[in-house]
Amino acid sequence: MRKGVFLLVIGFMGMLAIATFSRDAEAIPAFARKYKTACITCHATFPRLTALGEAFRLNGYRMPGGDELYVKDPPVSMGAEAYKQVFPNAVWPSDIPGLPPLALRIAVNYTGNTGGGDPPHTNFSIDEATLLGLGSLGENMSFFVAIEHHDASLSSTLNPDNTISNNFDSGTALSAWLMWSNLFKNTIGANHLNLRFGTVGKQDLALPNNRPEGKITVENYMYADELEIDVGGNASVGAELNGFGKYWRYNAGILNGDGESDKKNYFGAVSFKIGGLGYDGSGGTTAEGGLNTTPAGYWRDDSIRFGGFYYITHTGPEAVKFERAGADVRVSFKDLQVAGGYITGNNHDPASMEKKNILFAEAEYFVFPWLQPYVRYEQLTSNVANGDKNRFIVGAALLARANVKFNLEGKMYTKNEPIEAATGSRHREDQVVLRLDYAF
Amino acid sequence: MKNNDRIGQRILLLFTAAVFLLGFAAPALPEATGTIKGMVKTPWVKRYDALVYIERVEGKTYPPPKEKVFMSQKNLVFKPHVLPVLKGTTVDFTNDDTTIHNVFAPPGSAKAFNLGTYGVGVTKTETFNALGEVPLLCNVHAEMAGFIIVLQNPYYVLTDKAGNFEIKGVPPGTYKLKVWHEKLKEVSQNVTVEAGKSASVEFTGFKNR
Repeated sequence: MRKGVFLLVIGFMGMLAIATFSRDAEAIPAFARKYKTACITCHATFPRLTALGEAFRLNGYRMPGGDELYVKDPPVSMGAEAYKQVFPNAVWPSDIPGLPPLALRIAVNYTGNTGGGDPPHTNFSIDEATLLGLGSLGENMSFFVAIEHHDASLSSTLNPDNTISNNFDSGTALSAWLMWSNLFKNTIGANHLNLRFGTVGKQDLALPNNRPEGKITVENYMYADELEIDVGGNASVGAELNGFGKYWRYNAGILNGDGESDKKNYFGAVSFKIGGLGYDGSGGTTAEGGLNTTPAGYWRDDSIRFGGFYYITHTGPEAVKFERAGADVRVSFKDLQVAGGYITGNNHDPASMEKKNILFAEAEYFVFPWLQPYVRYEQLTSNVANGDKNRFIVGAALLARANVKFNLEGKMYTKNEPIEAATGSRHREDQVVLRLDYAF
Repeated sequence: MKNNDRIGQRILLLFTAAVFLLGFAAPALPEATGTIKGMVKTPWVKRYDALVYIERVEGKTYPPPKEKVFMSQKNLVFKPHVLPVLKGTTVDFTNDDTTIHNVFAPPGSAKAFNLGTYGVGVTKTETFNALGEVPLLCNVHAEMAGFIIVLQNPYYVLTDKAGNFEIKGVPPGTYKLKVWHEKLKEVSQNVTVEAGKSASVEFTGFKNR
């Protein structure tokens, strides 16, 4: 009896210790480690960035207003500041991250496909496993490296002749870039001209205020997939000039073509903001060491952002042009965010001369800091028969921890699902997915 | 009568001479002084020391100290990180580490110099005769950094981690009080010190260098 009570007490104390430890211990990716801060400082809900997170990203992964004040993991100095006075008789001083600036992100999906003539089926998959390395090198340089693996998944394309092309999207992709910030800072101002080279087309090539990296849904933006924008790989390698001020930013770049001709691909985007925290981290309503933050709710940033972008690619030995242009808007008001955009794509391929126009609207609401329902509507209009698509995506993101997220999401097409010509059955694209997404 | 007058005059003369001599021999009364207290309001003071100092006291010269002043290199760090000294001070740079070191100040410093590379336990010296900032570097260990600030007068102090400071024994007068910080541009304020009183000063509005 005494032994039983003793074991029960020990067990209870053990559970209490584990619960306490679990409550206090937050698994923390690279920047969380560097600044000893939780994910929600920059993300709401990850991977989407808060206004502060966006300012941090644009500033080359440095806190605006005095990064060094916030760093808790001191960098390794590659030369003291006064070596600037010794240059050119010394290497310009810099620093590298202290702890290895690595983070791992894993996403596991449990998907149920419904609809169509075939029986519905469910599937577990490791949708994404990404090793990220990113940070700053001294005052003016920053870097990004990502090794991203996606599990095999089937996607289908309806061809102009009503045949179906089935594509297995799987494998590993490498992205990497280096950015040099504050070029000619004393002449034209801080961060008005930055140079980035590497896979610059992977992250910022998109509607400026609705980038795929910032989506809250599991499903990718239709415009990015249909208009072949977020392709990654060698096609996304190039150079970009970008810059920002308090309420404006731009980026413009040149990318590899497909290599079959000498023609390169080009893109450009601008975005403006009214209200809220500036892109440079200034503004807001509370001052702390030069960094102004909004006071109530880390996700809040009452503001209107609008912008546009243009992207042209050249495909094949004849360098066939494919142009995309679009405009978007994102409005944030207290706990509600609504966004919309319109983008048109014009493929000059003589075989199809396909034109696609995509309209979308989405809304998210912070019921609690850890619960965010959302809805998105996307409409594709194509000049190709059976090329139109309309769909709703409805779901909710739930943060079990700051770095552990669940999405429960349903995708439903309301118009012209692709038809498999041979069997006459509809393609199973209506879907429900439960996703576990975590990073550390 | 005449004799009495002469004696009286001699006594008066002796008394006057005694009073005059005693006046020279008596110790001088201490000069009345005041205090400057205040705060340097910037979060940077948590990371790096700020130095508060009176830029100039007119009409006075302050000889450098006779005691030795040391700047040590130990654990690949200059200690102290910030060393304020009076103009004319000679500083001993001692290698208290277990590896070779070098000390030099780059071009643009108030005193550019290079002591060369020297071994464990060796001490080299340098005298600082120009006012201003002298950054210290080591060309063996590029990450090492220190500062010597050469000043005109002894009325200076490093702030604590909260930014508080107090300078005692300041002669009455109006002065320009300055704040030096390795990350921030210098700021200054005029301050009037009265004997037996404490003048309060607060520094804000710093800008990054």
